[in-house]
Amino acid sequence: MDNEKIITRLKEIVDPDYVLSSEMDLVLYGYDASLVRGKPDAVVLPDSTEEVSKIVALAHSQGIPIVARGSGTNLSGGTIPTKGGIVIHFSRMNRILEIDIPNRTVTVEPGVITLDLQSRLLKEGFVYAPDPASQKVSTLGGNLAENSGGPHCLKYGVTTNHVLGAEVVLYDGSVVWTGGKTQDQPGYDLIGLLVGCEGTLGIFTKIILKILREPEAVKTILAVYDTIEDACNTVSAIIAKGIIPATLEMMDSVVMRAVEESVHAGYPLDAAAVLIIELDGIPDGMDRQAEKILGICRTHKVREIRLAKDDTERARLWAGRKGAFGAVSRLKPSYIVCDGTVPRTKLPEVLNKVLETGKKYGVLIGNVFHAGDGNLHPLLLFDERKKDEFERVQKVASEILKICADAGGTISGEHGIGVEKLKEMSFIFSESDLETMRQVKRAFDPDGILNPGKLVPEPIKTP
Amino acid sequence: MTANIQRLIALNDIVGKEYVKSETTILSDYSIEGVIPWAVVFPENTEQVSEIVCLARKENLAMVPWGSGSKMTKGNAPSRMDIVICTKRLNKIVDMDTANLTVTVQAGGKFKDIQAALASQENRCYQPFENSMQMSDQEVCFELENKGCFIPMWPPHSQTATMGGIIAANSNGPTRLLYGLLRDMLLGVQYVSPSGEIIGMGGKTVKNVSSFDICKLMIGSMGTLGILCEMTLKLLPLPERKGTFLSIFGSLAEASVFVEKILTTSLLPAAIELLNSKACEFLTLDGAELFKNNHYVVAVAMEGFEEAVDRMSSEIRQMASESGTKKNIFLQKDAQSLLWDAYSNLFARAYELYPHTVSTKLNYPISRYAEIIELVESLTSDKAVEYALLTHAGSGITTIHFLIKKDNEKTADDTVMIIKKLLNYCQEIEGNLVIEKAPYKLMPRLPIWGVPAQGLKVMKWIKQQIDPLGLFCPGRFVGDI
Repeated sequence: MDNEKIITRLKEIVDPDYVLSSEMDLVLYGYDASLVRGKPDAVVLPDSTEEVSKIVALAHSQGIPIVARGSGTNLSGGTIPTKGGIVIHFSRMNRILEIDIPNRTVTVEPGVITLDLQSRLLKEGFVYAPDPASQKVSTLGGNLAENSGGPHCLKYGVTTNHVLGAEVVLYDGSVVWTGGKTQDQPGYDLIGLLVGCEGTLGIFTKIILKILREPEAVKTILAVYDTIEDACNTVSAIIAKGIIPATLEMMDSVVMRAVEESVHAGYPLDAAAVLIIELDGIPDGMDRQAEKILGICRTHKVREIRLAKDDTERARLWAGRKGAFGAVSRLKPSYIVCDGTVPRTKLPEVLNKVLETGKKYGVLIGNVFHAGDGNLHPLLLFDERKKDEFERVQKVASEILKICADAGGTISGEHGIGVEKLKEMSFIFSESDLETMRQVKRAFDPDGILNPGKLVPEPIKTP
Repeated sequence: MTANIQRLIALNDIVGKEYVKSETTILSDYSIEGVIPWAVVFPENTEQVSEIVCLARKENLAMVPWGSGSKMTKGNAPSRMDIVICTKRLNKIVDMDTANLTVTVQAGGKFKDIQAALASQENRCYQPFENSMQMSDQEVCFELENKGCFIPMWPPHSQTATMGGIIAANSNGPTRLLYGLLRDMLLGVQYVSPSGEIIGMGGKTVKNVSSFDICKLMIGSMGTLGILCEMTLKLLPLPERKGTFLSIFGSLAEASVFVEKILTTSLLPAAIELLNSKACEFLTLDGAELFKNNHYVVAVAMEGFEEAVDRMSSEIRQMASESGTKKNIFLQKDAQSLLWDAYSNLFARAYELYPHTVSTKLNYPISRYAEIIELVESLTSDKAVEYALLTHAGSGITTIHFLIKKDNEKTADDTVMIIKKLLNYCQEIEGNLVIEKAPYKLMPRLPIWGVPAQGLKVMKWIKQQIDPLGLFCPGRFVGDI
């Protein structure tokens, strides 16, 4: 079937206004927040599970790749149709279908924007715990596909720890529910495999999430340091002392300067690093825990400690952290952000090596990351229009991932492998490990039409 | 039989003669619902497990991994079982990194031994940034104000359970309410695949999206996809203070009022267990009030900061009296440990006294627990069926042990009928039911794995890809996988 016919068939499945195929449309849906580029053959915006099912069935029958897309904030090229095909865009499937407080669940369509869900739940006194920095823009479907993290994951876990079930469209267009409102469903944890599969095993059309009661109290602390060493040591010390705050984030001066210019969060421009430490829960004992943390900060030569007085101040502090990636475009137009994650005890050593690597190649690196998780985010700043800068930066990125792998860590904590990190998979996986991944992929998608070329590296061809 | 003798010799070559057993007396200890292997092997490390699997694969032998056997009564009888691979000797703690709050253990280690080691682990050192590039070993260590760590769960069968078995059976305990499930704690696994290869997934990091989440796939997979050899789990520091508040009520209605009150506050108890009076007979409690018919006990476990536990205790005490409690008991320290230990090992005690017990676990939406208990009450009211009932209130899980002393046709028929009706009800409210244990004569009449999930076809695709020859625990799992 040629492209014209496919478009016609798609217009029979979905309202024709929502089948896009002009040159401009195709280019617009060929990029995301990564540096990967591609071009789809068509973009469809369905409005129901039934429509998604029919689109996938059509694509499968014709051997056409399918790439699901939420808001395109993906950082590893997961939403890029690198092999062409049909982009299924979920912006119209953005309804919150049910909030079930007694059973502690909420059911949503995949196109719901994470922060919108959060705001809606807060009205009931409940929260959906994962808070990826992209939450103002990113969708739940995308969060699930990447198993997104966020600052509060230190205490609450990542997306997968809050997903109970989903309605999923499989490779052939068939629809199944996996998991559900109840816990301990017998059988394999299919939803556990689907979350984080980067769109390669199935497509979410409805999602059941766990909700928690809003914590009674929250305390947000900004700790200001004159050296990165002191900030880093504080992080190690807090975890080593067995204190798990709700968040433990670090930002260095490179990022802070960019953030201040754009968001005016009140960060000190002459400090080397800040920590954003948040505690939440019931207030009884919280003051004492905060004192313990402040004690550790003081032991590590903290210059200044600020306690957010109210919600407004708290919001300002977080706006800075969450706007960081966007803000660094003031310094250089492009960035690669590494997502290497290491055991907390290795953080000082690894951060040191990251900074050394930046110096070695003359690449400006800004650090803003989930220090408490050991999830680094060195932002390698450059101008992608300058080819030699691009090449140098890619070398640095790869070296950083090797450093993380060698420290007993992993190459991606939350942004996914996508296309970007396929080569680095061999840093942490043997061929047998990768073959296991291929077995899972073949189980779900024997014909390889779901987001091909992502996450699962091709086997090494024997000469 | 010469083929088996040759195979025994080959197994001897891998693990040593003293670690291959084929005497009938020993084999009968490793039977599953009447099916007996012809050899039990005790490998020492992951490499030996791999060699055993490679050999078995060549010979097309069906294998079943075995920890301490506490949960082998779950699932169907295997359609074939040639050798049991017992992980008893894989019992080392590989890496206790309390400063990183992770522990890596071998699959055959007893959970209680791991917890004991972690509780006494005082090493809280980290490498300062400035020293990290030098050869210096100088670490910064803390005073012993910290009292060790723990894996944040109280699994069933704590006296005997191994970490591998706990994961393979997805065996969680009451503190799931506060700390979550195994899927929230398991960071990495090393296992031997059906093709005999050693596979490593996940690791020591608390976040990892570098591959499909194979750790999640392994949890609850009952040995059908891999033989777990090593696992890495997340730890928490031991809580400052622990306490358990027990409240006795004269009716389910009053007990539910109490439970509802707790669930509508923002208090964060570690566990809320709702037990019938029969269940209390197996616990280390005294007091005639406990054992009156129709009486229900709510046990609320609290742990955390002193101030938090104090506040929870006093508020919960208030709620209990508002709900019409007959009596309150507050347990701390040893008394509290003994209680939850007895709770965890209730199965074993029940089976000793009632050898024909049928145990079943129901899952349903959280808010429906009272209906479920009422249904059990009404289904059993006109029958001579005794049962111990334990509900994880706040999680939507109820375990029922139908206590049967002797093999009696009427009791068996009644029990089967009751379970089928419970399954129907659970299914209608989007829940399910599994059989945890039953006399194997009764098993063909029982819905072992409840109602199959919509995704069963996908589960079969997965099994087909990973174990195409069907050599790992064939026939044991859902849909006869």
